[in-house]
Amino acid sequence: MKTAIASNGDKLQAELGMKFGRCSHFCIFDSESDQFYFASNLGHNINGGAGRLAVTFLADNNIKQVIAGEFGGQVKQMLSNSGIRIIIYPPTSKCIDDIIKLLKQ
Amino acid sequence: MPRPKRNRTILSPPICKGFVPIGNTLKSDSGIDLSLEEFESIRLCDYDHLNHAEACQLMNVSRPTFARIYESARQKVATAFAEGLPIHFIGGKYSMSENWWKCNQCGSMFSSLAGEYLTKCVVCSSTNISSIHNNAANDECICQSCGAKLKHRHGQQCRQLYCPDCKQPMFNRRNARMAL
Ligand SMILES: [Zn+2]
Ligand SMILES: [Zn+2]
Ligand SMILES: [Zn+2]
Repeated sequence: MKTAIASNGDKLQAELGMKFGRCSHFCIFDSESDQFYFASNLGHNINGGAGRLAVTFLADNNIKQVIAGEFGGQVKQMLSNSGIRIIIYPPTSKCIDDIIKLLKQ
Repeated sequence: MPRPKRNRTILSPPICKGFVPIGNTLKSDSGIDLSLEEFESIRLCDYDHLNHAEACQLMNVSRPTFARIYESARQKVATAFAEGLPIHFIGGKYSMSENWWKCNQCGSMFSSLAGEYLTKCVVCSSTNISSIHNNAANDECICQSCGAKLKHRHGQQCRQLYCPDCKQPMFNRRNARMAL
């Protein structure tokens, strides 16, 4: 199963993105192959529609769940319509690497 | 004929139970109760920057109703700021658009996918997870000291029921402070 993690950067030491749609990258972790990669978030700097763009990206890449600090209202609705699980992670000092380790447990 | 009741929707639970002022050591039981609809109205308007037309659709209420909820929410937050009072998130007349779970180990909250019953945390795999109040929230009486729940009997006052464990009067879940 593929999980997207909102990330402020494209390194494993990057912080978890606190707002979906506004993060600079997504780290995509596939639990079956145990592989991950970083994809840049196309909506990072645009004014409107960033959330919609990111949801489309996740759906197109067959991602089943997404982790971020918070999600916009419209984004929550779009994600649940696309059958993607929303995971709200509490404010944390954890980096992407820590979250991947949790997912591997 | 009475108008059919619409279910006000909130999209996800708040990530905490409320707020406390820094440095104010007043009596601890005082404070402002903010309903989850009120919380959601501020989150949608001022955090998500939606306009009222968009926000009232997401909450499944009419525009005048939304405006009323939002106005009341702002009044309460302003009162809490000005008077240095804590804010407690409490129930309200709402349902959640999805089933939500909270992991007591890693603190994450997550929705379940259609038809799925979860037994462990989707992040850390801990089995120490609890379901966050669902659409049936208004039909339960809850003990505020130990969290025990009983099915609410229509026409009966919740307070006439006593907790089977600690013998305290029960509250309606709707009025109980958020049990996150
Ligand atoms: Zn967990
Ligand atoms: Zn009790
Ligand atoms: Zn009751």
